[in-house]
Amino acid sequence: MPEMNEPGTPQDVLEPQSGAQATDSLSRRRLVVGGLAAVGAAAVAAGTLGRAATAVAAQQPLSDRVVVADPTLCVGCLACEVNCSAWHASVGRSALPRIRILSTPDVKLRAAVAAYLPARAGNTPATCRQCATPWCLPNCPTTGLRIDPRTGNRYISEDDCIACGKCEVDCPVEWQGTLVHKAQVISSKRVVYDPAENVYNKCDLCIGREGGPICVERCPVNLAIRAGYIKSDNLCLDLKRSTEEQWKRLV
Amino acid sequence: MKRFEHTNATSVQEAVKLLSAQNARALAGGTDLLGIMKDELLPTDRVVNLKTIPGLDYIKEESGELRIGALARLADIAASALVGQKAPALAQAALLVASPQLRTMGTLGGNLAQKVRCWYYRDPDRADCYKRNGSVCYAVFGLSDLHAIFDGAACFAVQPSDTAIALSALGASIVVAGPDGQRVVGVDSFFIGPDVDYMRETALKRDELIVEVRIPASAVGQKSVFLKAAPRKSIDFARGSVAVLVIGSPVQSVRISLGAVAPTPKRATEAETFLTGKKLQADVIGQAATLSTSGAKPLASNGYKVQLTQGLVRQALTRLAG
Repeated sequence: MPEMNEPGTPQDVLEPQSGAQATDSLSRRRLVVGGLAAVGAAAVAAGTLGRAATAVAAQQPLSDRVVVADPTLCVGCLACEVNCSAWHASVGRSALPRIRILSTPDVKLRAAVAAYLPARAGNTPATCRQCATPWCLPNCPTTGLRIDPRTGNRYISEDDCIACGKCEVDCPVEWQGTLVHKAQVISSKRVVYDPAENVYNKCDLCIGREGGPICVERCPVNLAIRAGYIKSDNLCLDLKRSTEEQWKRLV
Repeated sequence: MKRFEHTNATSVQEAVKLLSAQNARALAGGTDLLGIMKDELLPTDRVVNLKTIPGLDYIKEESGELRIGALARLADIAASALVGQKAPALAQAALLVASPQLRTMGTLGGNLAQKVRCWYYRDPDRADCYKRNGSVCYAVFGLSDLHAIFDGAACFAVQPSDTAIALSALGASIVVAGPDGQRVVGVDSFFIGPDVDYMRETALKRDELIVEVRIPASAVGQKSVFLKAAPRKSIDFARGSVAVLVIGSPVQSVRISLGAVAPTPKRATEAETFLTGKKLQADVIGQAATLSTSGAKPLASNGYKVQLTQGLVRQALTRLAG
């Protein structure tokens, strides 16, 4: 794994950015013990949640951020995947990339980008949708799957994950098709088992990282747009509030 | 240049121990390291001279394999009758590296372990790119003439070593010495892509060094060739290169390795599969050449490498057919 810091530099620790202790994060266990009352009925996406669990899920705060991609700007350079992997490895977390670029040959490149890189169309970045109703949370038997109370970030505390796989069963979103990376076939949910670490991993919005999600910060198309040599009203990888409406628009 | 300590290793074990210090670098011919130190691309507090280790510059045949010590000079490999007869692609590659002066100093191990030549990476006045532990790749939206058309991932710099391409086609193994002893790494695993670690080009850990290169008995004495395309007849790194090892006619087995087009030696597996069982005739060669670049995704200014590579593959196969 690449050494992101010089030896001796303090590593990031897994804490919500507010500085609150990890135990303040909402986990299924804490919610059930706290005895929150069921509120109304909510649609069951995956069909595996009981009514109580569904009710628990339905009350959670929205995530104030979700990574949103514009495939018409993506050139498939894989900087997001590689940086995601490298940063998470550098802070002791699972190194499987949590954002993947799917090979989608029908997707055309926006003219502004095609002008530079015509041969690199056909890419669709996809990651955890930070669902408004966090389907992955209610059946987690430990404090692995958590929600940061300040930001709504749905993340896995990998130290506490016991790799039972229930989050994977409940996750309603998949990666299906061929990856740009080595043309590997992928067919999985977007919370995925990492055998190297024996935990499940998913996009955690780079919790604990100053500067936030590294994919958004380091995407070369984003850098080109911010620098002004690609004209675009939106970024290739951006952060939006994760509402139900936004969820429907996500890849 | 910053102050550094220069130490002479007298054995491989001593070199491994000395390399475990922070910012220690192995010095053989020094034709890459000295430039890196002058440009301060890699912090270097200690230089471990390997030239004082006796007996690492051999070129010999043993147990049917061709075995070359990591400190063998490129000039000696190029001039070796044994290599010329038994693994011509390697002799040809060694002869095409750099220039006569550099081949006199440069070693096989150093040629394999060299850092990339990407002009953004090598520019000391520029803010760090990914490979320098920074946060950007300049080539994606910059000048990409020399960069990869395959397998770029965050970083698009290509593997610059000519001997690496020849050894990839020959199916060689690299013997690496480290604190836990020696390990043998197949050439396909020895070179790593930026998806694995964009700050390294090889599987070498900080305190490891190459001690030997082995060409397997299955390749020794078989037909092979190495071709290189570059602006000048000498000194330049490849703009495109190819090495081919072919056994049998009709083709029983073939390995085609492409250079200067990917961060690691790139095997043209579709072309290899196509050629297996066929005779190397002009139409077959032409189709193989076209297949060799399938899946290429050029950047802004390296699209020429697609045709260049196809042409090199065609020429290489034609030479082997003749």
